[in-house]
Amino acid sequence: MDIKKEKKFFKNKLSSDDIIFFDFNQNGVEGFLIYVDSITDRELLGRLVLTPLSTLDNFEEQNVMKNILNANVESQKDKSKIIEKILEGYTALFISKLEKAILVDLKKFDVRAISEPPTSAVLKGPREGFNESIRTNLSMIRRRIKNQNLVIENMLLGKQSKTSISILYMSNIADNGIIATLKERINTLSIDNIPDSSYVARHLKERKHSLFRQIGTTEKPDVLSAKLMEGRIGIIVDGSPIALTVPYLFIEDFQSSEDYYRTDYKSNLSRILRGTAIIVAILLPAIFVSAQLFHLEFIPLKFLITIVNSIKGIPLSPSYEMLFTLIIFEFLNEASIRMPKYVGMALSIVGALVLGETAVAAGIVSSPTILIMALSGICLYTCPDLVDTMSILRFAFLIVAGTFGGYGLLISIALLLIYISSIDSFGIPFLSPYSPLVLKDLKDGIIMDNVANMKKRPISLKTHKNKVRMK
Amino acid sequence: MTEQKRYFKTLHLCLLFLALIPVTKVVTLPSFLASKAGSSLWISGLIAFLLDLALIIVMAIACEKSKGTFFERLELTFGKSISKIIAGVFAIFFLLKSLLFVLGEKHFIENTLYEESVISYIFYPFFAICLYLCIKGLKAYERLSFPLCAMTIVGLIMIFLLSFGEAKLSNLLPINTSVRKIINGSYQSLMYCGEGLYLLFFMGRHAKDKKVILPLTLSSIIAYILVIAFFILFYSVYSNISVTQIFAISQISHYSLVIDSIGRIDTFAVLMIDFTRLFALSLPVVLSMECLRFIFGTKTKQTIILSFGLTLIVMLFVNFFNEKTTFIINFFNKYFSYFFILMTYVLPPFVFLLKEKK
Repeated sequence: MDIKKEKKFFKNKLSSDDIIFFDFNQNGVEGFLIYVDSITDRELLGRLVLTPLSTLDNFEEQNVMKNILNANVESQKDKSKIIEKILEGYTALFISKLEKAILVDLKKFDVRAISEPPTSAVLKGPREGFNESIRTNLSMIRRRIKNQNLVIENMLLGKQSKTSISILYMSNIADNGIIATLKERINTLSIDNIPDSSYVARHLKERKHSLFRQIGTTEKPDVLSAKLMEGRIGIIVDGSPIALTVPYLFIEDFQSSEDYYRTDYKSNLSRILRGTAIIVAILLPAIFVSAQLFHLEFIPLKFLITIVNSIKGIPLSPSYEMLFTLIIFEFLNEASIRMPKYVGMALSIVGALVLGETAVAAGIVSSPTILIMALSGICLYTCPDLVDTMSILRFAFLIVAGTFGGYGLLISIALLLIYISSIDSFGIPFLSPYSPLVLKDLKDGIIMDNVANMKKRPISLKTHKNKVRMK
Repeated sequence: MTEQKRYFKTLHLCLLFLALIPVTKVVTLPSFLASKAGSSLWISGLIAFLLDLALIIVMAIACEKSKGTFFERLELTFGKSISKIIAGVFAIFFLLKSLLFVLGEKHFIENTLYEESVISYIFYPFFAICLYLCIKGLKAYERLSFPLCAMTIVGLIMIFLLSFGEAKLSNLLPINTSVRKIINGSYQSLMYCGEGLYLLFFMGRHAKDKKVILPLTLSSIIAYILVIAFFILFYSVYSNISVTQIFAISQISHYSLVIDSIGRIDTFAVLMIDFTRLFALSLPVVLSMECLRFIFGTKTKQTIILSFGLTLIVMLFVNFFNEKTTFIINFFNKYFSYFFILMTYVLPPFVFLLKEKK
């Protein structure tokens, strides 16, 4: 190998300042190393590579590789692959007596500590969550599933970013057709950069413009490992603490990992509450408006009198009043997410007291409207993953209710139901096990059975290979 | 028909029949039957339903034995041209059937949900459902069989509970209505029945997972029992003035004591039943569309255009004859009843004579 020529070539290709070229001469044998300073463990480089090299006399490829004290060593001739590996964190070793470069895995990244994910906090059950390192995340899964059938397939995604992603599945449970479809979709993905797993999720969606997400997400290794055991396939993206799961069913949004760790009575109550809360969140403002405009008989007489008294002098019609209040709520919500935490308290005061109290006192909105909107807002957050979709639907239903009343509302619910029942996630009906009804899978529905009785895997997920999970 | 296209499982068919059978019979049929057979309305209903049940059993047998769809078998027996003509006749029949139902639904909605504020455009969103279901086809019914069934059952149970307190079963006695009146009532109510015919179009789409005859018969019997119970309860509540309570479902629990204290919660039950009615009333239009699909092809663009066309026809009809509902019902009863009976009860059993796919 012509060391000078090689060095010139790589210097041309890798001109960044954090890429280090280190020359050496051992007993008249010339060579050089290339590594990316920011992602290489220099201590290991010295200890495992340079120290053994300094004692070497025989520079045959096999001997060099044998003397480097690292399990992940390979030789490579293809220059583009060498560059790819260097940028991944490998150190490339070029020696004049060798035809190929030796690549040693010495990656070292600073990663955030493992902590409880803020969106899936639990009272009971594992508290650890994924972080941004794919290696750490995979290790958390491996620790939970010590099984030869756990398959982890790595690939690079992103034309420019070359982001590592891993596909995880249990080869003896997951459906081969679903695995093949997923790989096919990932392989056709052509994108420059993958800053987060949501980019992958967006490209894997069957209906790109759908309001409903069609890919599951989790930040918890216990959840991902349980889903793998149900026959789902996981995707972990380097740099993202959110793992993806497919196929994704709508019912998953009403299931919390905690449901499986506490008594089924409490879990059932929680699931029913979540389901009811979502219905209340999206329909209550619409029902209230349609009742005021078209169906006063819906409202009990005493409550009707309260409403009549409170809306006296309100300049806006019920639908505009509710729309106005909802928009204010969305403003507050948007601001509270973006605003620094120390301003949050002030925002709450401004939102709750100044806007709420004063708006009622000033006669702009009525107190029942504020009450209905607040209840709807609280209920919306019982299923955090549904917030985006449901807050948009809430607006849509409100407009329909204000225009057509209860019948329009009924029709829009029917339209929505026809639409979501027709969605398939990797060939599995999105509303399964309720639409179409799959009796055997109801054990983990809104009303769940005792975990000890869930002896078979969900058949909706095509787990024909291995149906039984417990005897 | 490949196995993939056989998406209807027995369970889904049963749930669908349990959902759809009651909802078309609890709105105007009770008062209509009361006007024909008085306190014996339930006997009239029972006779009609027995005939309907017989049709369902016959069609379930055909469904279980059939390897191909109705259209495939038609084509095998009569060739392409004649089978397309037969499909065209069915398309017209279903369209006519839907016109009558949809017109009734419009009046039901305007008179029950919008008593205080009738706005002319209120009913028009219904056609969005019609259009969407036509585009989606029968698979939407398979997918939604359980939610629809749940809505019907919960809605009816709520109605039963709310109205039971006001019922006087003695109102049904004595049973002294003439047999002629009872039979006449049964005959006239056949227009509201005929769900067995739908099985003709589920044929060949039904997954051969389990036997269909017994489960489907049982679910239909349950549905008819619910309807008969509703008739009995309705007449028990309103007795002689049942005839004037045109929209039975919204009137039956009107005098419940609960309503005074917590508002018209019966309207929620009515809405639940009406939710299923949206699908039940759209089904003839969807089946008409299925016939047109067979005639003109199954390309997406054609399906959308044809669905638009069909929905537009129903919409224009409803708009045009909005004020002439009684005339339309009488006209249909007078001139189309034989055609209805021929298409619903006489022709379908002949499916056994059609050639079978090998």
